[in-house]
Parts: sequence; C-alpha cells; structure tokens
Amino acid sequence: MDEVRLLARSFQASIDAMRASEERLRMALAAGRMGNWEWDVRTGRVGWSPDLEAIHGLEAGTFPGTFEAYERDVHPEDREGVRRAISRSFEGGGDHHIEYRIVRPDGAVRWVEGRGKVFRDPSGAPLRLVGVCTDVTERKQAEDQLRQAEERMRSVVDHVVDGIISIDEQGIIQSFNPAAERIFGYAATEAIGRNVRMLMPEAYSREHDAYIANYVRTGEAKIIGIGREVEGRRKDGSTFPLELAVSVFHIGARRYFTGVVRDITERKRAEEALRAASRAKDEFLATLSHELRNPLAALTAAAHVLKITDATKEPAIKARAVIERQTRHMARLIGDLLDIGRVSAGKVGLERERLDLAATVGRMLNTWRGSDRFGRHRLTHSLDEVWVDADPARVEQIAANLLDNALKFTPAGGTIRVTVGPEGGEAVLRVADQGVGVEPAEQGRIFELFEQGREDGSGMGVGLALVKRLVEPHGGTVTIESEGEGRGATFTVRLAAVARPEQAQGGEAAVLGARSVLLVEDNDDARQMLEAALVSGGHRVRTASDGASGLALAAESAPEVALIDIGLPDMEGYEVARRMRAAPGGRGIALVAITGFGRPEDQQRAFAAGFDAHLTKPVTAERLKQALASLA
Amino acid sequence: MKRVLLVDDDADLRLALKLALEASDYQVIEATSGQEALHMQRREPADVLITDIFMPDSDGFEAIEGFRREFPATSIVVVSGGGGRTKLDYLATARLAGADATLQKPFEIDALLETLRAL
Repeated sequence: MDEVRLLARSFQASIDAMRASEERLRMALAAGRMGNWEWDVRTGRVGWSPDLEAIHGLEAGTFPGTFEAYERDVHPEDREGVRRAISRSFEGGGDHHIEYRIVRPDGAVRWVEGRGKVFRDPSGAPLRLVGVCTDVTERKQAEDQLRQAEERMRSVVDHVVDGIISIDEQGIIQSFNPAAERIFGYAATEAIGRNVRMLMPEAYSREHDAYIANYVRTGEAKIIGIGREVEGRRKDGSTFPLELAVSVFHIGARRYFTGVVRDITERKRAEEALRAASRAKDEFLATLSHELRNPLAALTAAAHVLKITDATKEPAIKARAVIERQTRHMARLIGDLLDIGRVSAGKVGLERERLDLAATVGRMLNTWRGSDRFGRHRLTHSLDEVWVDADPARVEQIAANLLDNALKFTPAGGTIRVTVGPEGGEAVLRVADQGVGVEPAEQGRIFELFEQGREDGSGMGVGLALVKRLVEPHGGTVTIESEGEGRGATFTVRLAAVARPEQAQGGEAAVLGARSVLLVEDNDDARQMLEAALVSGGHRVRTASDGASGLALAAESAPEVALIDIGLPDMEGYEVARRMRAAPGGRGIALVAITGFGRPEDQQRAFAAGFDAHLTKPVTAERLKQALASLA
Repeated sequence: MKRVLLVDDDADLRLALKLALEASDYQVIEATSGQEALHMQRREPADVLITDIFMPDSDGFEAIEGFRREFPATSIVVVSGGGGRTKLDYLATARLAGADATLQKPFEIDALLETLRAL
C-alpha cells in the first residue's frame, strides 16, 4: 500500500511536473509567438496547438486538421517552396527550416519561420512530421527596414559627388566610394587596405600621421567636424585642392574615421578668375585715369597757348589743331566707354543698310589721313568693292578701333596694312600691323573687356572688346592671328557678303572713268598725298612702298594703271616697269613714271623701260588727273 | 634761355607743351622715350627734363634712373596721369626715384612754369 501510495504520489508528481513543463512550454511558445504541430503521415491528420492557431489568426480549436487546410493559409507565392522543403524532409534529410508568408483570414500577411523533423519506423518509412512555427513578422520588418536603410545609405554614398573614405586608427582605408574613385583615380579595390597617405602629397601625409597619433592619444581633434582645405594627390601623381571634413565613429572598442572630400579645383579656378577680373578692373581704372588725363593735359596746354599768343600766328594755329584732335580723341574714347556699357547691356540697335565695305573704310582712311592720324606710320591698303548689310556708323567704329589699335601698338615708322574684299561669300576686312604682337596664349583673351595689350598700361582694353561686341550682332566674326611677341598681328573681320544693289552707281568706285591704280612710292608723304588725290578722283588705289611689293601687287591685282616712282629703295622704277611689262598681262597696264628729274634724257630712259607717261615731281592733283585722262 | 627736354609718347601733348613753354621763352627739344631722351642729352644736354611715366618703348622711370646716374645736375619734373586715387601712385614712386618735382596731368601751365622757376 505504501508502495502503491508512493507510486501514485510519484506518478502524480510526474504529472504535475509534466503539467508544469507543458504550462511553461505553452507560456514560452506564446511569449515567443511560437506554435507546434504534428502531422500523422499514416492518417493524414494534422494537429495544431492553440498558439499556432493564434499565429494563423484562427480561434482555438477551429483548425480543420488537414494538410490542405494548412497549405491554403500559405501565401500563394511561397506554397511551392514550402512543399519542396517538406518533400525534401520526407525523402532524405531529417529536419527542415524555412521562412514563408501566411495569409490570415482577415487578409493580413505574416512571416513565419518553420522548423520540422521527420520520425520514421524501423524500415525508414515516415511516421510523423513534428515541428514548431514562429511568427517572425516583426523581425522580418526590422530586417527589411534595415536593408532599405542600408540601400538608401549605399545609394547616397555611391552617388554623392563628394568622395567618402573611411580609415581605421592606423590610417588603413576601409571603404572608398565611387566619387572617391573618380576624384583620386584609384579603383576602390586598389585603395582599400592601403594607407590613406597615398592620397596626399608628401607634406600633408607627414602632418596626417601626426594628426591621427595626436587624436588617438589626446582625443583632441584638430580637423574633426570642421571642413578645411588641403591638397590631394591623384593616382597619376597630380595634386589638386580639396575640402576635407572628418567624422569619427566606433565599432566596438575600435575607432574609425570617415573623411568626406570634395575636389574644389573648379571653385579655386572661379575664385582666381574673379580675382583676375578684379585686378583687370583696378588696372583698367588706373589706365582710364591716364588715358583721360593725358588729352586733358594737352588741351590745357593748348588753351594756355591760345590765351597768351596772337591768334593769327603759328603757335595759336597749331594749338587749335591740337585742341581739335584731342577733343575728337577724347570724344571717341568717351563714346567707346559709353558704348561698351550699352552694347554689353544689349541696348544698341543696328540700323542696317546695304553698303560697300571698301568705300566705307576708304572714306574713313581719307578722313584720318586728313587729320594726320598716320603721321608716324606708313599705311598701305587694297580696297575691293564688296557689299554688306550693316550699320554704317558701327562699321566705321569697328574699322576705327582696329586702326587705333594698330597705330597704338606699332612703333613709329612701322607699316599698317588695310585690305577689304570678297572672300568665299564673305566680306573681309583685315588690319595688319607690325606691332608688339600677341602671344598665342593671350589671343583668346584679347577681345575681353579690360584686357590690356601690355603690362605698361597702354590701351584700356575697351577698343577690341567693343569691336567684338559690334561685329557679332552683325552675324560676323573677328579673329586675330599673330605669331607671337614682336611679330605683329592681323585682325580679320568677316561679314556676310550681299549682292550689290542695282542702283549703286554713285559709290566712289563707280565714278565715270574710274581706274584701278597701283601706286609704287617709297616716300610716305608723297604716297599718301597721291593716294588721297586718286581716291578723291574716284579711282581704286592700291599702294606699295618698294619695287618688290609693287610687282607682287601688280601680279595679284592686275591694275589698269601703275604709277611708279623711279627712286625706290630696292630697285629702280625703270626695272619695276620692265618686269611689270614682261609679266603675264603686263602689256595692257598703263605705266606712269614719277621722277625728280625732268630732263629729256630722263624721259627717254623712262619710255625705253616701257613707261607710257612721265610725271616730274611735285605731282599735283591736277597734273595727275590730266595724265590719267590722257591715258584713256 | 633755359633748355627743356620734353619726353612724352603723345605727339599732341608734346606739341602743346612745347608751344606753351616756347611762349614763355624756354627752348624745347622733344623725345618719345626714356632711351631717346638719354641719347639726346648726351649729344646736347638740357637743363631740365620733363618726362611722362607711361611710354611704350622705354618708360619714364628708365629716364629718371639714367639721368640721375649720368646727369645729376639736370632737374627732373615728372608729369603723369596715372597717379592720384588709383592704387599705384606713380608720382610718389617717381619722387622716390629722384624726380625734383611732380605734376599730375592735367595741370595748369602756370603751375608748370612756377615749378620750373622754383627749380
């Protein structure tokens, strides 16, 4: 009896223990959102614990108890995977472990993690499948969020324009984003694992080691959290300015640094350009002061002369001429200054008309000759009729500024050559000087406002800028060619050529009896005077100051008349005449000798050389006119 | 009659000053650059040098330096439009380089005559 009682008590204790254990398990399952199940393979009966029913959103005891009922709860996209995992358990392996989604009766989707085990009979045939199922929706969601956050972060790090590089306390690179690859020219695989010193020029890399050592030792951050400008070194060895911001982070006990770097080469360049512009403005103001004060000084002095001398005497006459020239000069200067502002602001409208570029430029050259603008220089020109649709006032301004520039930069005695003519559908104006020239590197900037031709401040940097701003609204271009310092420069303006208007009979070039005349004379004054007389007579004139260039011009332009001085520097005029006659087409040219000797034997010699007429110096306009008429 | 050597690259300014100075009985000779002025001075010395600073070929500072070295007795008057309120004060620099007097363009001729008398 005692034995029975003992047994019974022990049995009761076992049952209590089992109940307690079951209760503990149930609580554990509920706390862990876990449920268990059992599938009897032979009967097909599936048993679920109430917790599993709760996970599936079912009332306790309502699970129908079939595999089909279970499978209906599995998310359609995951059914195949679940089925495969279970068959694998049956066929070969023992346990299975899968994650899949279920759909509750109310439509809510939950993630569950299932673990199962197959029990077999001694022959190996499966008897039961037993397992637990855990609701892992919260974990899944947290994982998803983490992954999304990581993806967002990765996308930022991968696509940000700034380089992001992390290093450990030894300076070993841990990560290197695509922007860092672009900035430094290293692939991430080349950079990771190496010391960050490789991204810095020597001077900085030594400093850098000291920074890190100091920070690790003292915790004192010199550059943490604040941006600073340092130098970077690319894979190809080139260095560049960069802005660096450093932050520190910890993984466990280890410290890491993240550097955000930005290539600021462009910003530096922009800053430098700004400084240069400011410098150019200062220099411009200094030059402007000089350019405006100089003519005022001349005017003041001339006014003084007028005040104290007899108005009819020579000093007063000269002083008045100074006043005329200098006021005109100042007016143009001020006009240019005002125009450049208006043109830059787009306030200048063009009053276009059809005009002969050659005639317009020719008229201007004559006016300038009359005012002695070419006193210290030699001018040669070749003007061929070509028509354009342009604003005549602006065309004159363009030519005047180019000539002004040529005069300013060509030393006394130098030659300036002006040509106008058609070239492949365009009307081309060229002004070539023998001035200081322009280095190729400077040529791009020469048309910029306030760019001065020289360090010494001559020129204001307005004239050529204005030319460009006047040519471009006409649809034209202006370019410079120069072989460099001291080699002179040629400015070329190209405008679209248009047809000559039908009623264009009145232009200078169309005067009755107008000829194309080549004038070869080495004396500047004489040449200019004769040229002016010929141009005012309506003739088209080309000029040369020595025999060789005279012959070249004759071959190039086939003039109707050639006026040739006998005393030329390189060869006698007789020789020029002989060669001109012998050249192809040379028979038809009317040759006129200009000599200082009027004796009969001089005339004979001229005729023997092939001259048709002979003029003795000084040649007046009237005699020139008679000679040309007699050649008709 | 005092002889003045006038150096300026601007032909009209030279002409106007020459006329004004001649009207006050100075003899005026002209040069267009510092180098040219030195050559002329070596041939036929002037009593006073009046020079501009900005000139394309050889500037006024070259003239001042050359004259101070070779012709210390010659008085130097510098006239320039570049001084004044701009950042670079050429006239002050010219005085440091050895100019006896400076005038900023434009100046009254009476002021120039007074300066010449005071030298």
